[in-house]
Amino acid sequence: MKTAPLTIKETQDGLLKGRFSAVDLVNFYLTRIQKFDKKINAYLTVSEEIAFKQAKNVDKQIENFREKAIEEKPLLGVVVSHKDLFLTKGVRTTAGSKVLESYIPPYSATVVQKLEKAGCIMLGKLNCDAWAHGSSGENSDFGPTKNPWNPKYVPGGSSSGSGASMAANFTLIATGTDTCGSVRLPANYCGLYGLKPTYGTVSRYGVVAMASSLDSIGHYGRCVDDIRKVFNVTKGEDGRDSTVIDGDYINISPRPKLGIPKEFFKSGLDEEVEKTVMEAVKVFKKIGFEIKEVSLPKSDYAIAVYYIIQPAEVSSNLGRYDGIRYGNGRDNFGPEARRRIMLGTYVLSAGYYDAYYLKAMKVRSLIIKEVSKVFEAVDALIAPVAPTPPFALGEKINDPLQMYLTDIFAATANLSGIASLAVPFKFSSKGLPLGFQLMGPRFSEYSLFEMASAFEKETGYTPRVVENI
Amino acid sequence: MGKLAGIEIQYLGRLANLHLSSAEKKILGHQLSEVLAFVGKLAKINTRNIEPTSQTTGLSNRLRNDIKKADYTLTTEEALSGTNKVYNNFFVVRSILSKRSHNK
Repeated sequence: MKTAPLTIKETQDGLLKGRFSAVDLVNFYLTRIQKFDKKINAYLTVSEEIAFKQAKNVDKQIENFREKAIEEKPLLGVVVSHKDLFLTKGVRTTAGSKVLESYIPPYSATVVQKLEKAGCIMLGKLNCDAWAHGSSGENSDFGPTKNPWNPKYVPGGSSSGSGASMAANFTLIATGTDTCGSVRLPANYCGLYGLKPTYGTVSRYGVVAMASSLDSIGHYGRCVDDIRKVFNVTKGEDGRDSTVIDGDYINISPRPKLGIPKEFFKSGLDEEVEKTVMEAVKVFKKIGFEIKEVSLPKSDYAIAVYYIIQPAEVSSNLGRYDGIRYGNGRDNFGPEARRRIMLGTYVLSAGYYDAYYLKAMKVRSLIIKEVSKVFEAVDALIAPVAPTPPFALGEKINDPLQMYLTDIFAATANLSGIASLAVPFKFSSKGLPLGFQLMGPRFSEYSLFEMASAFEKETGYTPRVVENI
Repeated sequence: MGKLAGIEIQYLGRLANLHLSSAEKKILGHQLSEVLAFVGKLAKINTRNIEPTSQTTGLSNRLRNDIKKADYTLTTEEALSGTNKVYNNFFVVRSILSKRSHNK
């Protein structure tokens, strides 16, 4: 086959009509990975054998049960690649770190299991900033991932391989994690939809923990429909993550109100980014959304709160890596992980706990209060994902604080546990993707999907990938 | 917040169970001080009578029934599969007591 379809619907239609087989699809993706991934460095492990085995099984099910097979397994034939934070039984899982360089997990994450049960074909494991610490993909112990749209630029992090593999058409869908923008930023920088679901909708079981009160398990797609289809499968209680509930999801209002939080549009925001978001606002207005300026004054402090709470939880979570039961010793932690462990240890230590950690948890309460209040007035918020378009490799790597500030617009959603969907829209003057995020209250996923879907229809958006890298 | 002194970095390294080279201590001292100065701006926010938030679900004490499920459990073999340092189905760890203690 010359090219693979870019959406789940087209893929399944093609399989049903016999235009190609699942084995053809796997062959197509593997050939592309072999040809182009040297330049992109999206994959840490390619699980070829499993992919072919699962593909043959898919072909058999399509042959025997036709449409019924897809009714039963909604993601039948969908090729997925997992961020290397997701444990995959029998397949190496590194978290992008040398500490787990040769770790083979004895069980799979809930999300991995659910996707497999729904008929997905697993292609491999994706590069990421080690332990998901980073905004550019440059903190991976296995080398940086490049942006397929221009390999001199970062794909965004920490789910760098997830964004890049999707933009390069190496896979149909990809998983990611979002502790402070790690799904949304690569989506934004690679021209994709990326969902950071409500905290407590998708199980974190079997996903290497970064900051447990913030970690959300998300995914990527090239259209809203794909994001929805995958969320239908990944959400819900598994009895293994006590934060997850089968919540009551909010429906979209008949005349949705969209809020523009003015604090997200202050000086320092790149002009092209601002223009893109404001153009999106115009589209929403045109299709009947009520637009309202709102204020979240405490969101100015979100990133500071995040850089206390997150390292604190990181230092605690990474405490388990002692090289005794699995993995290598602590000397294998890279510079960024060491930095965060040290910072977290500091803010939790006696004498500084009250001034930093406790203070941050209190300001977090204030932020949540503000966010809840705003959602009494509007159904969703529209905002930039990052303050600038994709930046060049190496540009921020020696300045941790500047790198941390890349996450400035992401933090509010994670601190308050709400849902956010990154939506692709335009391209910058340099030909790099631009987009925006829609944030909604807890359990507003389906409402956000409806909004993004209406936007997608109005703009005539079609999925795009980089053919020749 | 002033600059983190070398001695503090040394102490933190020990708490965090990390070996730090002297070059690393110097860089970390500088970088951590910069980040702490940035996050220190929270000090000016009034948080009197505000309860801290440690999680956002509003749920508490969610426990599963205390029953053994085969698929919730790793076999001994699976649990030991991540290391070569095994003795009689146990993990081998470094000894932490070097001398025999004498209780009087």
